[in-house]
Amino acid sequence: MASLRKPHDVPGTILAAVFVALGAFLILQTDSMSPMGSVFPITISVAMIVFALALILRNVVLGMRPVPAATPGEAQPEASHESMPRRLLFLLAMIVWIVLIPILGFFVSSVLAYFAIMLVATHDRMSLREGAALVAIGLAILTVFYLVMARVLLIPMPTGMFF
Amino acid sequence: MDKLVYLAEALTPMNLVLAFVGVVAGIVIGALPGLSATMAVAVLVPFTFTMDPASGLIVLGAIYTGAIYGGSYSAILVNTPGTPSAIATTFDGFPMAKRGDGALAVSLATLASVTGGLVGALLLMFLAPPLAQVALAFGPPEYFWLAVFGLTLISALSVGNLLKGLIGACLGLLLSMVGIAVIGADVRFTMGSQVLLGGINIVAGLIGLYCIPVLIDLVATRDPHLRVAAESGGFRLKEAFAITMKEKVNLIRSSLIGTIVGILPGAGGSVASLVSYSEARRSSKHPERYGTGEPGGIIATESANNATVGGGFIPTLVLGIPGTPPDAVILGALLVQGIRIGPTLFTTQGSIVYTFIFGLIIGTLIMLPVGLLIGRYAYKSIVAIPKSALVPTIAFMTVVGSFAIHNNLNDVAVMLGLGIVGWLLNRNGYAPSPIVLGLVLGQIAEQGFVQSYLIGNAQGNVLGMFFGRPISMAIVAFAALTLFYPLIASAIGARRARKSHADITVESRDGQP
Repeated sequence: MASLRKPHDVPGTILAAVFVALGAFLILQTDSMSPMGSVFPITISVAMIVFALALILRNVVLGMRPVPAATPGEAQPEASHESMPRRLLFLLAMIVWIVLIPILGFFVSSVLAYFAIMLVATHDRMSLREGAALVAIGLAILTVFYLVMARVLLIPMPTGMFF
Repeated sequence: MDKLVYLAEALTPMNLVLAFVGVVAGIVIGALPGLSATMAVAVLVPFTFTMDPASGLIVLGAIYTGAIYGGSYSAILVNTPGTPSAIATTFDGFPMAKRGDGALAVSLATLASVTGGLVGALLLMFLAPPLAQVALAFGPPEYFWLAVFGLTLISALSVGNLLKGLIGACLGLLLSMVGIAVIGADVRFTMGSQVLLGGINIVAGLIGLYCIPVLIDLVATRDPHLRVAAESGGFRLKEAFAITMKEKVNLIRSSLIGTIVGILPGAGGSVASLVSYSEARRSSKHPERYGTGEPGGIIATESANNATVGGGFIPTLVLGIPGTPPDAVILGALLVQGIRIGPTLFTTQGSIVYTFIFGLIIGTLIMLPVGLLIGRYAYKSIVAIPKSALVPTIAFMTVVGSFAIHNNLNDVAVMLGLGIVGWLLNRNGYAPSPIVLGLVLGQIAEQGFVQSYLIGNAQGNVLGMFFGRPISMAIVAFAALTLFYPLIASAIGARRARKSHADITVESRDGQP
């Protein structure tokens, strides 16, 4: 038994449309370039537009096909246990980390970000002892790496207000 | 007989210790994403200036070969290639580790790396001058087609949706064009920002596209990072050895590809491993298993990238043209040591060169026990570390690694930005590997394409430039075979199935009373 049409891969199609627009924008950008500098970007942008249009067409055609109805008792996909707020908090911590490096210095900002990300990645309650062990391990990792980078490999680490 | 004297020189206790220390340092630096083999060699070069030339070269060769191998650890254990040459190791290494076969994957990578390294070093010893001529026969069209050959791997990486793979590759190629053009020096797609003038660094892109999406998904669930197989004790060396023997053709072919690609200036381990992976998948009886944790994929990439070490030294020592970036650093060290590079090097300063080559072989052999031990503990640690410590530690390494490339925070911002874009694209079916492939091969492809076009135009024969040279045509044939092989194989399979079905039908009809 088949039900009526169902849109096929909507996010993928929207992204394909974004790639068509991006390709067109990049081709416009090549106006000010020399023929040598523009030939490859134009070629690849055109190829990207063609592939993206083909994908849109494919998804539209697939979306017009009837889809078989789910049989009773068919296993439904399990509800996702993924946490979007944790993902966003992780990204926020990473962004703030990069912003803070020139202000607070590499080591201090890294310590703050490290423990912020540790909190975001912790799903289960842990004992005080476990927590203290993780903090000690984290501090040791950060210190050793910082010293290796700054003192052994002589990479000039940003110092900011602290170090 | 003379060569045995050089072997004895390479086997002095001091040289053995130096090779050991070099291999360990190389493995540790190579395993950290962002810290490349070039950086490992460049940072440690000044320490060799006080040593005698042969010992200095032995330690540099050991660091280089160890760093190329070390890149496989993070590729297998955290899905982030430690060096660009380990990109293809992530395709099968991480799926193997995820299903609990991480120890086996590390053992396979070690055996393959040692074999590849030995093949490259032996070819360097016996065939250096004639093989260096191969490099001279490669012009811009051959480089262009070689990059296209690497890009045909997209068909292998995009099972289920080739169009999305192709779009991703175009995006990667366009990302490789950001900054100043390789030919013509036009400033392109920087959006007026000075930050992007230097372009998007491959290593920063690599860390962002592979590592950040993994971290974003790691914090979202309480599931463990890797599973531990029921009987995962030990190195699983016997099993790894049996698999390697079964894949011996793949192993030797990939080692030879690695050596040949290593000889070509500018191509390097990333191109070698991608081409070898393509070929391994094409010639496999089960190409559909590649990308899902197939041991053949690890063997192909790891043997090829380590073979580029010996291969890269061939044009470096014979012609003075470095095959790979670390070769360029070592070439500088050779000049500082007062060694005159050129075709006569092997006769006039044979003692230094042959002692160095034996040192490279010894360093590669040392990599077997050292690599297995470090790999075993790396795997055990990654499995044992709770997510609360693993995620911030890897995040810290992504920041340190992308900062260390140019000591610049802009690379860190680019890394994170690409990581977020990569995560969004990945969730909608656009895999990161085609994008990385485009980013890595973009400059080689563009340089070859534009130079070939200009030369062809000047000669009034553009088509002949691209399609009229024998080496080019051989590469085009391989690329076409790789690209269309899945279609050809499935067509042949369908035809056979139809034929056998027809035979059965005829037989059953004949058998009716």
